[in-house]
Amino acid sequence: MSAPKTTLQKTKKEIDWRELERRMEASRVAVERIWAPTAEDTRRILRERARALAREAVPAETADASIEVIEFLLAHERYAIASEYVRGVDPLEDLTPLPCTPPFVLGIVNVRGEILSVIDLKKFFDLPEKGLTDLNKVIVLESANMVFGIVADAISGVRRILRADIQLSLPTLTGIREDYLLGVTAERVVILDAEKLLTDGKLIVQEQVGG
Amino acid sequence: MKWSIGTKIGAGYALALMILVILGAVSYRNTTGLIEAAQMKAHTYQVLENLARVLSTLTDAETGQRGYIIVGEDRYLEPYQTGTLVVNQTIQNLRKLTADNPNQQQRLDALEPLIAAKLTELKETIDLRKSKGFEAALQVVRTDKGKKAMDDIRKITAEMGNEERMLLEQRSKEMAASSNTTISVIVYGIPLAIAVLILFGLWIIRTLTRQLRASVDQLSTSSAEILATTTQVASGAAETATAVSETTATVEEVKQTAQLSSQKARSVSDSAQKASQVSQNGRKSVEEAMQGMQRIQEQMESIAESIVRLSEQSQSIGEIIATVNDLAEQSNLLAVNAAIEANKAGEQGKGFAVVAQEVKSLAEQSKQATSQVRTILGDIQRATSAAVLATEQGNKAVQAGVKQTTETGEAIRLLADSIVEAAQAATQIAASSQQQMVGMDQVALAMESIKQASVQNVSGTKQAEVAAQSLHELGQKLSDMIGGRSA
Repeated sequence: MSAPKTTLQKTKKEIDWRELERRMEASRVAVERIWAPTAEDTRRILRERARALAREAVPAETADASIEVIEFLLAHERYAIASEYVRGVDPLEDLTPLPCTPPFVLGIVNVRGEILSVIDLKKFFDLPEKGLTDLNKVIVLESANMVFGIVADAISGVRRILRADIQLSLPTLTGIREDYLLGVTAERVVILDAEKLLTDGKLIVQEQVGG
Repeated sequence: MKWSIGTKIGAGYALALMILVILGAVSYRNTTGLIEAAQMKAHTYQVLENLARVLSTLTDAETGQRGYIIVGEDRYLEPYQTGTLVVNQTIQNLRKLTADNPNQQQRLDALEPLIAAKLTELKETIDLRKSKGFEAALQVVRTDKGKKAMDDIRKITAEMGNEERMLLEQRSKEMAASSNTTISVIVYGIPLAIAVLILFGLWIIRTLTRQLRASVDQLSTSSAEILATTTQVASGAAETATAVSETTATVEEVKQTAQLSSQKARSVSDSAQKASQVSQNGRKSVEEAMQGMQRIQEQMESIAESIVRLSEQSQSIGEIIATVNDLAEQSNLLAVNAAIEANKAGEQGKGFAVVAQEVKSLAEQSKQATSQVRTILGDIQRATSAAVLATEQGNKAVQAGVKQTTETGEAIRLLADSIVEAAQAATQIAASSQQQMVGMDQVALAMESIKQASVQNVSGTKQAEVAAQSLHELGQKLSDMIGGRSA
């Protein structure tokens, strides 16, 4: 037992306590300075921002050439939905499960004083469960006569997609999903057909509990 | 019967003395008997003489009476007168002389009245002559009274004389016998004695000679044996001397060895004492090491505590970060909502859309920053966990070290005890070898004494040899003296 210890002591360099102290001091100073950036840092940041602002705006595409979508993550896959049908995104809070509903109906939620039903597209699309995900965002879809929320793991943001980039269908996307898809981009973002979702009768729950 | 020489010689002398005494006694007795017989003879002659005197005096007295009667003259009365006186005296003498003989006494008793009657007759006649004259007296004489008395007297005296003569003869015979005995004693006894003494002497001489010869033989063999023994003793003494000198050399070597071992033991003792001191220092060091270990343990504990506090603080940082993350998320959502609203606003909302885009990118950056912070926090957590583990292992190592140090201390204590024992043993060895040296000195002294003794032995043996030689010569001389069979 003592033999490896001695070899360890031999191979290991002796601890330079002064060096350690110096490093500790440096880190302490660095932590303190984080809140007060140096003049050079400030200048650099300001310059970057100015450069960013000075960039010429991208020439506006025509409304027909592109659609604006909201991209989100669901079950490790990227989805997008046209923003014209989106009222807003909110954190999913105080979800109340509803009894006697199909499995894809997670429950109801209060979003800014309005009671909305929340749908899990994964279950609706019969996607296989790939572990637990956050499912803590809700995207509120809205049309003239229909409002409901779909849950998402994360909201990636708003972006524009050229219609030309959308491939209409993929052989891999089969089953029920095919009906609700607009297409897939080259970056493997699945674009959902919001209009179809909002008008689909399957989402209307008309179950009755016997008795 | 075993007689000693003294007894034998004494017995010889005693025999000679006895014979001498016997001879002397016999001679003395015979001589005294002779003397006595001679005296008795003289006595007998005296008696005879007195008897003769009685007769002669009576005869004288008768003669005087007769003369007076015839003559009538007083002148003739003188023999009568003396005769009467002498007769009585002689009778008295006879009575004395024959006091031992009753026969003679009886005869004297018979004689005395006869003598008295004779004397009375004589006086009567004398008186008659005187008074009446011759005739009257003659008348009386003619009666033969006087003559008859005189005859009786003569008869008795003759008897007495015969008796005495017979006695005399008898005594002479006895004397002759006695002197014969004496002579025969002298004639036969002395040669017999001489022969006996010679035989006895010869016997003594022979036995003495035999014994002496045996003794001399024994003496000579003994002296020869003594000689041989002394020779052996001399050679033995020589061997002893060699052995003693060898032993002395060995003792000297042993002494040197003992001295060496004593020195070694002393140096061992010194070393042991030094080692004992060293071990005491070692124990002290071990105690200090244990104290140091305990301090290290305390430090380790405080380090672990500090690290745990750090970990807790990083946890609160994590909470803060979570809050920041939440804020970023909400900002993100808000930005998305703003973008949607801007899109709905159409052409007027374009600028707002840009702002919303900026806000969104800031929120993204915040999220990234928080994620980085979270990663760093995770690293910190892992590091602190590792540090806590390391301190725990260090603590365990220190405990093991404490245990080992305790064992080391115990080992050192045992070692010190052993060393102390070794030191004591070495001291004892040193003392023992000292004693051994003293003993070796004594042995050397003893060896010296033995050497001297053996030298004395040798000289004594020489003296003994000389003495044995002289003994041998003495035996030779004795043998010569005894003579006879000497070769």
